[in-house]
Amino acid sequence: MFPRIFRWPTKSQAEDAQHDKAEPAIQGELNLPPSTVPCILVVGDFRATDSIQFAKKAWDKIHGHYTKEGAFFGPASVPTAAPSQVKAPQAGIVNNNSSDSPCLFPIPVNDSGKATGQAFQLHIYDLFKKHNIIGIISCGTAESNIGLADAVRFIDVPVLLVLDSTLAGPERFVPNCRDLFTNSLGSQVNTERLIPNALQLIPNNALQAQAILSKVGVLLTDKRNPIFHVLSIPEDDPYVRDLRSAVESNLEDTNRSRIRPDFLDPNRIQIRKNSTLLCLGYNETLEAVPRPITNGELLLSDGFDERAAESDKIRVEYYYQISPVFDPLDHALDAYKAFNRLWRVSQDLNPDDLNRRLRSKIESVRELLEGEYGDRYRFVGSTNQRGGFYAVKKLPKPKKHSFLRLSRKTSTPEGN
Amino acid sequence: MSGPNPTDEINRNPFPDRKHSFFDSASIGLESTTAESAASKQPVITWEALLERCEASVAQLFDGVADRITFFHNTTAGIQRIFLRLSQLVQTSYPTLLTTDLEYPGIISLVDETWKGRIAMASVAELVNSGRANEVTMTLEKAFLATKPAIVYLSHVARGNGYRIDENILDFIRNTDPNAVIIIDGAQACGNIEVSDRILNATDFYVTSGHKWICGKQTLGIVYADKRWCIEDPAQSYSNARGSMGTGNSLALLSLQAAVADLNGETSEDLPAERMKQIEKHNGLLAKHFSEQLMERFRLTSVAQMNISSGSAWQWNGIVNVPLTSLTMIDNLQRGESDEAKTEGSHPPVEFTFLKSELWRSSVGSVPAGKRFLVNCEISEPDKFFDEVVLSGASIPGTGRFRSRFCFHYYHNLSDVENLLERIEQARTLNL
Repeated sequence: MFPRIFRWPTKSQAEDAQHDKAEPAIQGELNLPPSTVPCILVVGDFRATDSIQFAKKAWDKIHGHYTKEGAFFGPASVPTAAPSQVKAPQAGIVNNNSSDSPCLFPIPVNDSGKATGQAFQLHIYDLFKKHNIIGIISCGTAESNIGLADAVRFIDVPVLLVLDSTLAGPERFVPNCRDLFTNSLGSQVNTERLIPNALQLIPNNALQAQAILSKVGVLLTDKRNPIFHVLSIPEDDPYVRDLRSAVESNLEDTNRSRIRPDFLDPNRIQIRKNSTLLCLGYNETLEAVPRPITNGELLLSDGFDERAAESDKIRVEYYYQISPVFDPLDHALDAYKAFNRLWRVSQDLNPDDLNRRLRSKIESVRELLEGEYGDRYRFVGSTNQRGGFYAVKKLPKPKKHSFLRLSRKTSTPEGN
Repeated sequence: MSGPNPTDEINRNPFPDRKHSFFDSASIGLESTTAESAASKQPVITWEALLERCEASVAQLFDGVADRITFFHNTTAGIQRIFLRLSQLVQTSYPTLLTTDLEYPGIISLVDETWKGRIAMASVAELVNSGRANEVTMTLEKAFLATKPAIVYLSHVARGNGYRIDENILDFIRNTDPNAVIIIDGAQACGNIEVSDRILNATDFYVTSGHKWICGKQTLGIVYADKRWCIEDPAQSYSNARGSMGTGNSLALLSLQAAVADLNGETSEDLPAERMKQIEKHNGLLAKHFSEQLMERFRLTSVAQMNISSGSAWQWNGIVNVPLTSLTMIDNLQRGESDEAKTEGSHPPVEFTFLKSELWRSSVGSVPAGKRFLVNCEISEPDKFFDEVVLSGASIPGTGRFRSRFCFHYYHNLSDVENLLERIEQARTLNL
C-alpha cells in the first residue's frame, strides 16, 4: 500500500487545479458513436501533486507493454489529459479486425485521489457508453476504490483491485467473499451481496498483520515489558481501520499473550523511550508524532513508502518496512495481461460451448491468473492467498540529513 | 395510394367467410378457416408423427432445420423455459440482463420475478414515440456497453408501436461480446415480416407464437434454438410429450400446421423466404396506406408517420399505432352499432387494441432478487443515468392518451382498410 497523501507543494498544484476545473467539459464529448474496440480502464491518482505515485508507475508499465506490442489501436491518452481530451481508439489502424490485437486499448482515468463527485461519475458513465470496456485495473487506495466501486455499481464489469488490500464497496464489491464459485444460492439469498466483481491481487491485511506481529514478537523477545505502541492514523481511513482490526484479530486468534498492544490515542500520543512503535497508515501518519523518534524500534506498514524515511520525525538509524513480496507494479501488469488473454480467449471461443459462454468473466480472469502466474495467485473467493507473503525489511535511515549524526551517537546497533 | 396494390401481392385468402374487422393480434390472431377446418378433424396419425410434421412445417419459416423448433403451451411458457435454462447455465454468477421499455409487460413481469441478476431496461420507447426512432440503435449500443450484460432480450417488432429492430444492433452486440446470449421476441414479427437468416444467425433464441400473426389456433409458443441449449421442458414441452402423450393439444398443432402452410409457401408453391417477403410487403403497404389516410383525412398522426415526418427511417410492417381523439371515439369503434340499429350489412365492432395506461407488473409474484433499473443514455446527470425502479406498479411509457394499435394481416386487403377508415370516420363524427 502506497501512501495516500504526502504533501509536497510544487508549482504543479496549479496544473492539478486547472485539470479539476476542466472536468465539467466532459459533457461535450457525448457525440462520439459507440465503439466495439476492446478497452481497459487504468484508474488512479494521476495528479501532478498530492498523488500516490503508484498509478503513474503502473500506467507506465501498462502503456509500455501496449506500445511494445504494437499499439494496435493507435496512441493512448496521457494520464493527465482532461476527460474531454481522452483519445478514442482507432479501430483498424493496422487492419480491420479488433480481435487481431494482442493488447486491449488502455485508457487512463484520473480519480484525483478520491474517485467521487458528479464529474468523475459522469466521466465513468461516458467512457462506458462509448467504449467496449473489458475491465478496470484500479491503482487507487482503499478509500478511492470505494468511490470507484460505487461509480460502477450498475455495471457488470470485472474489476481488478490491484493495490487495495481491504476490498470493500457496495454490492458486487463485497469484502472477503468466499462463496464466489462454490456457493449454492437459495431463493431467499440476495445475490447482489454474494457475488463480487473484483479480485484482490495483493495479499490482504490479515496476512500483513500476521507478518507484523511475528516481527514484533521477535523484537520483544527478552524484553521485560513486552508492550508495543500502535499508532493508526487517519482513524477513519478504510485501509488503516482494516489493518488495525486485522492486528487486533490476529492477537486474539493466535493467542499471542506475551505481547501486548498499546493503541495510542491520536489526540494524546505518548511514546516511551526505547519502546517499539508500529505505525499503521501512510507517510502523513508520521506528521502526528509529536517529537522525532530517536530510539527504539519503528515498524511501518505497507502504506508507507521510501519517502517516509526522509521525514524529520524519524531519527532512528534503522527502521522496519513491511511490504508485500511481489511488487504491486507486477500485479498491475499481470492484470493487464490477464485481461488481454481474456479478450483473446473470448474471441476464440467455440460458440457451441454454451457453458463457457455464460461463465462469469471474473471466474475466467481468476483462472487465467492462477494458470499463468501460479506462484503469485491462488484465490479463495475474491481474496488472493498465494501472493499473500509479506516481508519485513530492515532499512537504514538515509544519511544525507544532518540529524543522523546526532542519532548515531545515541543509538545502538540494530540486530534482527 | 401509390405503388403496387396490396391485393395483387397476396394470392391467397384463407379467410373467405370471416368478417374483416379484426385488426388485433395483441393476444390472439384470427384463426383461418383452413386452419380451423384442419383442427376440427381428428388426427389419424400418431402424436409423434404430428409433432414432427408440425416442426418441419414451422421450420420452413426459419432455416428449415426441424430439430431447432420446440413447442410450448404459449410464448410465455417458452420464455420461462429459456430463463430457467439460462439460470442453470450461469450457476451463481447471475449476470445482467439487458432489455428495453418496448417489451411486452408479461415478459417483463416474468423476468422480474425469475431473474436473480440485474435487469437493465434501456429507455427507448420515448424515442420511437416522439419521432426519433433513428436514435434507437445507437441508444441500445450505448446501453449495451454501459451495462455489460451477458443476456439481451429484444423484440423483433415492438408490440405497442410496431418499431422494427435494426438488425445492425445484433452485429454490434456480437462484435462487442461474442458470448452474449441474444433472445429475440418475434411474437409480433413471425407472420408479419420476414425472419431473415441474418437475424437467425445472430440470435440464440427466437421466440414466437402460433396463434398471433401466424393465425393458428390458440395457444402455442414456438422457440427456435440450437438443440444444444436443451430447452425442452420435461413437464410442459410438446416435444417431450412424445412418450406419454402428456399435455399436448393436437388440435392446436393441426391448426398450426395448416396455417403455416399458407405462410411458408407450401400452398402457394413459393419459396418460404419469398412468401414471407410478399407478406411483409403486403402488410407494410396496407399499414402505410392506413397511416397516410389517417393523416390526410383526419389529421391523426401515427407513430410511423411522426418518425417519417421528422426524418427517421421507418420500416413498415403490419402494425400501426395512432392516438385517437377520445375515449368516446374508441368506444364507438369497439362497440359498433347498437343491436337495435344493426341490420344486414351494417358495421360490426372493430377489433383493435386500445393501449390503456399499463403497468409493467402487478403485485402478484415474489420480490425480485437483483436490481432493476432504467438506463437513460441521453441523461447528463449521473444520478439519473441509471434509474433504479421497482417494476411492480411502474407505468409503461407510450401507453394511454388514447393510443390505439391496428394490425394489418395478409388476410386483409385495401377494401378492408377503406372500411376501417370509414368506421373511424363514423366514430369520429359521432364523437363530434
